[in-house]
Amino acid sequence: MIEIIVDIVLLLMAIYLIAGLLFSIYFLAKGVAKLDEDAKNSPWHFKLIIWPGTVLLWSVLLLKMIRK
Amino acid sequence: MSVGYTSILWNSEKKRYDRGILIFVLVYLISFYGLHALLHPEATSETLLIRAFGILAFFFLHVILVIGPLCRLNPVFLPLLYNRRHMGVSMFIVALIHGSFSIMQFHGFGDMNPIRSIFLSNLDYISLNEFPFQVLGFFALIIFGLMAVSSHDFWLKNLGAKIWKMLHMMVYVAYALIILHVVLGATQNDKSTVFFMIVLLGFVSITLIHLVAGKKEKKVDNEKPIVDHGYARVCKPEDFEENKAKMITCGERIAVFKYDGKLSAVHNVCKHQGGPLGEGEIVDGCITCPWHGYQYLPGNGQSPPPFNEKVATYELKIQDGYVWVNMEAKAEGEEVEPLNLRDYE
Repeated sequence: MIEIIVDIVLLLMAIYLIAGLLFSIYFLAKGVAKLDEDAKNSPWHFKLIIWPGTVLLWSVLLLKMIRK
Repeated sequence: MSVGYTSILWNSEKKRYDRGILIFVLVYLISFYGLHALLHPEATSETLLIRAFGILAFFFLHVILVIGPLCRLNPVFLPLLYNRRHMGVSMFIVALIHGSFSIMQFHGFGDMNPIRSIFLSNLDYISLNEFPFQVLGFFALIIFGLMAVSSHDFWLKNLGAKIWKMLHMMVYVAYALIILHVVLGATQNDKSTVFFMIVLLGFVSITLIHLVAGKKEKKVDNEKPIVDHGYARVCKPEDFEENKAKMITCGERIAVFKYDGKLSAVHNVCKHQGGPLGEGEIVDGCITCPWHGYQYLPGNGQSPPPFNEKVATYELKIQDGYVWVNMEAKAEGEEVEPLNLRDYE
């Protein structure tokens, strides 16, 4: 039973991270400037530093973008 | 202060802070390896690495947790708070090295996926002596990771203060997981009583210092001001020190600043990370947060251009020889005519 639960949780985590990876490509290319005006014309190293957060917290960013 | 972002805002003070962290880490690692080479020559380099970085992360976590309450008790510790985020990220990197090598060493050479193996290689979840303590460390590492990746100001602004604060308060959950991870892990490895005493001392110190700082904060909030027609009495005009504030709690905390013979009142909470503006000073004509130096103009609560942070302002009046503040806040950034003390001399 515990094996099934662990496998399901790990699978969900993997799906979430893959979705985050895909989202981060769009977000760093275009979305970030739409969501936050201060991020317009920001340097590549700023995008690099927020990239891990974008992959992990993409669901919150997506909600914010939809609401905006 | 937000007007265009960059990756890391390094200034000379932050560079000094980070250099201090780096030097400490290097001295610690050299000392640790030197001592272990003498005392435990049989230990493998992987084991040494796991131990060294585990202990270092545990130490950093304690330092990070005491900085906040220490600053509440005495402003002399404020320089430590100034760049706590860099220490937090450093702690995560150190913990990640510890975690990665542990996973490689203990779960990386079997048939099972290493992450799956953390959860399934030991199924004694109901046993205290054999509990799979690495699971606890794994979850703590995820929390530290979320905190580290969201430490840039971009995240504070775009997640919103509420979500950001909630996420970063998870450090206490992570601390509880780490205490259990260390204690259960050590129990299974027959660590000495001295080791347990050190862990206990750390836990008691963290708890006590939080309780003392919390008591001090509560005392400030419990002081009920005299209220008359929506105005709360602050103090006499002569009680103010130049370029400093008097704070008053009436539902919200309000900071009343004296500068250039005038008084202005703003909401006490900095928009950056909730720092206590009333414990700061007026520097170059601006209220300056003691935590990270965010600035606001006293007359309208706005950060000076080109920055765009705003705090609420309050009306003031003098009545019966006392300064009174209107408890109803104006909009954030709304101009309020400062109270000119010279008019009452």
